[in-house]
Amino acid sequence: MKRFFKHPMHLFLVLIAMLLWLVACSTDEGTATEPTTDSAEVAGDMEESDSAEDPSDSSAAQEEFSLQWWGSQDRHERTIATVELFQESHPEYNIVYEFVGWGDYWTSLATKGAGGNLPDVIQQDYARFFQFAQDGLLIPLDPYIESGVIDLSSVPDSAIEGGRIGDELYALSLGTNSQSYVIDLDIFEEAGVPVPAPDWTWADFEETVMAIHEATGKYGIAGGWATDNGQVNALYLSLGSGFYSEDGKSLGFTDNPQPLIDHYAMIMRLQDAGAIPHYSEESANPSTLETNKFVTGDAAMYFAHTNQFVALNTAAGEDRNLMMLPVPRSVDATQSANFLKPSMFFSLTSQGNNPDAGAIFIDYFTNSVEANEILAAERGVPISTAIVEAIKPVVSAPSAATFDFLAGLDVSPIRPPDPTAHGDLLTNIYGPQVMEPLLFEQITPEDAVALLIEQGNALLANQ
Amino acid sequence: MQATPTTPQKKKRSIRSRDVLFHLIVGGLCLLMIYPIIWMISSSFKGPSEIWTNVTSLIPKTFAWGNYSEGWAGFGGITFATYFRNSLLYAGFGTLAIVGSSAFIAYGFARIKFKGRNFWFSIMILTLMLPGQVLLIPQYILFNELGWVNTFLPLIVPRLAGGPFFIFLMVQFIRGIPRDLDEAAEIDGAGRFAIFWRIILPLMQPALITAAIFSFYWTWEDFLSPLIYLSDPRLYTVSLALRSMADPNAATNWGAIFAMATLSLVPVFILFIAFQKYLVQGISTTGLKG
Amino acid sequence: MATTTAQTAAAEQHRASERKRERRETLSGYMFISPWLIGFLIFTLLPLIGSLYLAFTDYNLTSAPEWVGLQNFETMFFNDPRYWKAVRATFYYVFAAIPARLTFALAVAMILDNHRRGIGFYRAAYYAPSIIGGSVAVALMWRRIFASDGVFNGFLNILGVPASQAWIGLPSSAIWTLILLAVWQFGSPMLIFLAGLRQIPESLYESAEIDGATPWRKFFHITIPLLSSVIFFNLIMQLISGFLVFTQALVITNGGPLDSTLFYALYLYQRAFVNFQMGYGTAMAWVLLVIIAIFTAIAFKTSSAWVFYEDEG
Repeated sequence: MKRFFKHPMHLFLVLIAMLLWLVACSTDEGTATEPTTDSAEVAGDMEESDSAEDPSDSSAAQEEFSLQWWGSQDRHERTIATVELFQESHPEYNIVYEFVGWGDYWTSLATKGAGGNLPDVIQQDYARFFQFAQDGLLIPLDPYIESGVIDLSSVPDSAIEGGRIGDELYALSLGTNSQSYVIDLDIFEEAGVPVPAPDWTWADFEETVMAIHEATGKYGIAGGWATDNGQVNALYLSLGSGFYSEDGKSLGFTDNPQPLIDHYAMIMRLQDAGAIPHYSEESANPSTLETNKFVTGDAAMYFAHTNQFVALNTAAGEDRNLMMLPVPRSVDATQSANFLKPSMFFSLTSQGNNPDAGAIFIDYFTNSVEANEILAAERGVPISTAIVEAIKPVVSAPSAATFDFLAGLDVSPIRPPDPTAHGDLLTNIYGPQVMEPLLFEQITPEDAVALLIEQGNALLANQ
Repeated sequence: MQATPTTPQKKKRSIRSRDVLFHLIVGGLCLLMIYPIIWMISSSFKGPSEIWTNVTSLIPKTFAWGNYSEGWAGFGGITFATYFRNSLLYAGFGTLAIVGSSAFIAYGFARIKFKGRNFWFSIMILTLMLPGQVLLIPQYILFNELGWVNTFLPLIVPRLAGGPFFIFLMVQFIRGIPRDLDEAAEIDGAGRFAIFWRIILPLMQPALITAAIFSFYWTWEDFLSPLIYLSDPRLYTVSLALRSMADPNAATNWGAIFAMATLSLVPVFILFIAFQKYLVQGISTTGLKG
Repeated sequence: MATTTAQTAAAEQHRASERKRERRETLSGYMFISPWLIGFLIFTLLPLIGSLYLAFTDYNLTSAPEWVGLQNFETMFFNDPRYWKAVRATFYYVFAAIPARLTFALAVAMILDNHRRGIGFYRAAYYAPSIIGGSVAVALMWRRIFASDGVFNGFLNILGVPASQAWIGLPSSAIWTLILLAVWQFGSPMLIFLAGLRQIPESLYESAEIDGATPWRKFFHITIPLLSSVIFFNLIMQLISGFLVFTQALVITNGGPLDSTLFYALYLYQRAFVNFQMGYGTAMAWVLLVIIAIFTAIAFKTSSAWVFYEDEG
C-alpha cells in the first residue's frame, strides 16, 4: 500500500521550510547593504556562483541605471555585449538591463509605467513614442545634446528628425530605415521581366506583378503586402500628403480619396488574377519572416523595411540574389514615396533614477565604433555617418548593401509622428472593417475607402 | 496487490484478445496525439535551410545538433541552466504551496457547515470568472506598494492562499468521500484537524495528484507573472526566456527555439509519468482502513 | 407546570449547546478557509475593486485614469461592431467545443482507467497535446496542418475529397480549426475524470456484475451518478475557461480572418494591452463576468437535480 504522503507531517515540514525560505528572501531585501538592486540580491541568494563572478558586485561606488529593449536572441546577444563593453570603459556605471520579445514588451512597459518603475533608458517604437511623450513619461534629450553629453556632430538632421515632437527631441533613432521592395533577381530573370527603375510607379508595379505571374506562374508579390497601411502612406507621400493629416486629427486623404480607390481596385485585380496570394492564404500563413512566400521562393517581391534586408537574406539562404527597390510612386507623383524612418529609438524616461547616466550610454551607443561593430547595424543603419564609414568594411554584404541603398535613396521629408489613435485605427478599423471585407469581396474599393474615411476621421477627431 | 484479488489466471487468458484490440486502437490513436511532440522534436533537429522547407517530414535530412547548444547558450552568458533552475524553483514551490493550502481550505468548505459558507464559496468561484488580464495592473500596483516587485514573493505568496480551481476540485472530491469515516473518527475523539490529516488527506490522493500535475504545468508555462514581476534576466524562467528568443521582424533561430521548447517539456513529462501511477490507486485500492 | 418548565429548560439547554456547537463549527470553518480568506482580502479584493473602478474610466496606462461614467459600456453595446462579433464568436466556441471536449475526455478517461501494461505511457501520450498548450510550436504546427498544402488537405485528398482551401484563412472554417484544437487538447478534464473514476469503489461494479448488469447499465447506474460531482466540476470549469478562451486564438489566428475567431477575452486583451485602452478592456471584462456568472448560476441551480454527493447519503 503506497501513499503519496507517507505521513502528513512531511508535507507540513516542506511547507514550513518554504515559508522560512520566503521570509529569508524578504529580510535579505530589507538589510541589503550592497549597492545592487533588490532583484540582484535575490539572484545572489539563488545563485552564489554567478554573483561572485559578476564584476558589478565587487566595486562599491557605482552609479546604476536601467535599460530595457525588445528583440530576438541575436539582438539580445549583441546588446548585452555592448552593455558589457560600456561597463568596461565606464567602470563607474552599472547597467541593470532587461530584454523581452516584441509581443511582451509593451505589456511589461505598461505595467512598469503604472507602478512608476520605468527603466531609465527604453527602446521605443515609432508608433508609440508620441503617446509616451504626450503623457509626460519621456524627457527631452535636447539639454544633453546642447551640453555635449550626447554628441550628434556626425549625425545629419534628417536622421533624427523622426524623434522630434514640436521643437523637442524625445527619442533618438537607433538606426535609419526606409520602406523598400525587395526583389528576387533570379525570378525576374527567369520571367524575362526587366528590373524596374527606382522611380517606378504603381502602374509599373501592376504590370511587373502580372508579367511575372504570367511568365512563371509564381506570385508577383507576397507576404502581407496588400494589408500594410504603409502602402497608403507611401502612395500619398508621393502626392505631398500622408496617411494622416499634418495635425493628426484626420486622415491625410480625406479630400482626395480617388488614388486610394484606384490602389484598392488594383489590389483586387491582382488578387482576382491570382498574381498575388488570396488573402485567405496570406492570413493562414504564420507571421514569421521565415515562412513567407518570398522567402520560400514562391514570390518575386516582398515589401519590407530596409533593416529587415539582412534578416531576409539570412532566412532565404545565401544562394539567393536579392535586391532592394524604392517604393512605387503615384503616377501623378510630385516627390519620392520614400522617407527616412527611424527603425527604433532610445528614450529617457521621467520615471528613471539616473537619466544623466542613461544619456551617456545613449551617446556611447550612437558614437562608439567598437559598440557598433558588435551591434552590426542590426537595428538599422547607424545614424552617425562616421560610424557608417567605420563599420562598413566589417559588416556583412547584405548590411553593406543596405548602407548603399539608403545613401543613394531619393527621400521626401518625414511626416509628423503617428497620432495616439494610430494603433486603435489599424487594429479596430483598418484591418477588420476595411481591408478584410475588401479582400473577401464583401465591399467594393469605393465603399472601403468611404468607410475608412468616415470611421477613421471620427476616431481621430475624438482622441 | 490486494487491489485485484479476484482475477485468477484463467480469466486473464480469456481477455487477451481484448488486450490486443485495446493496444491496437488506443495505440493507433496515440500516434495522432503525440504527433505534435514528435513534430517539435524533429524540428528541433532541422537546420535553418530545412526547418521551413521540409516542414511536414518528421525525419530531418541532416541532424543539426547545433540547435541545442545554440539555444542552451541563452542570452549574454546566462544559459538555460539558470532558466531551468528558476522554473523548477518557481513551479516546485508554487505547486507545493497551492496544493497544500488548497487541500486545507477545501476541507473547510466541504465538510464544515458554517455561517457564510455559501457566500464565500460563491465569491471564490466568482473570482475565476474575471479575465486575469484586467487584474494585472491593480495587482502590480499593490505588489509595488508592498515592495515585492523584482522578487519571487508575488509569484509564490499568493499561492499560499490556495487556488479557487483546486479548492473547488478538492471540495468535489471530498464530498465524494462517505461521511461515515469522519463520524467514526469523531466518536473516537478526533478533532477536525486530525480528521483532515489522518482520514481525508490520504483518501483524496487522486485529487492531490491531479492538482499537483496541473499546478506544476500551469506554473511551468506561466510567463506573464515572471514577465511582470522579475526584471532581472538572471531570474527569468524557461517560458519567459523562450518567448524572448523570437522577433517577428528579425531573423529568428527557430531551430534553437524548438530545441529549447522540446527540452522545456521534459520536466513536465517526467512529473506526469512519475505522478500518474498514483492515479491507479484511488479509494478502491488504498482501501477504507485509513 | 413543573414538567413544562423542566422541558423548556432542557430545550433551552439543548438550544444553547446547539448554538455553542454552531459557533464552534463556524469558528473551525473559518479557521480552515482562513488562508484563502486572508489571501483574497489582501491580494484579490483590492485589485478587484481597483479594476471595477477602472471600468468606469478612460485609462491609457501611461496617464492617470479619467472618470467617464458609463461611457465604456455605451460604446461597447451601441458603438462597437467588433464587440458583438466577439460575443458571437465566443458563444459559438463555447457551445461547440465544450460539450465535444467533455464527451471526448470522459470517453478516453474510461478507456484508460485500467491496469494494463503500458497504461502510463498511453495516459502521458493522450495528455501530450495539452502540454504543448498555446506555445509557438503548436501555433506554427496548426497553421501548417490546415494550410492549403497541409496534412489535413492531403488526408482529404486520400479520401477522394478534392480540397485546397487554407482552412485557417477562411472566415467560415477558421473557428472550427480552433474548436478541433480544443477537443484535441482534452487532457485536463480527462485527468480529472480519471481521478474521479478511481474514487468509485470497485466493489460496486463487482456486485453489479454478479447481478448480471450490462456495461451500459453499469455506466448509467454506477459510473455517471458516482462521477456526477466530478462531471459537474468539469462542466463548470470548462464553461468558465471556454468563455475565457484566449491563448490559442492569440497565437494561431489572432482573431482573424474577418473577426471570425475574435474571442471575447482576446478582443479585451487587444483593447487593453495593444491599444492601451485599459478602461474599455476592464469594462468588457466585468460584462463578461456577469455573462459567465449567469451561466454558472444556472448550472449550479440545476445541479441539485443530477449531481449526487456521497456526503448527503
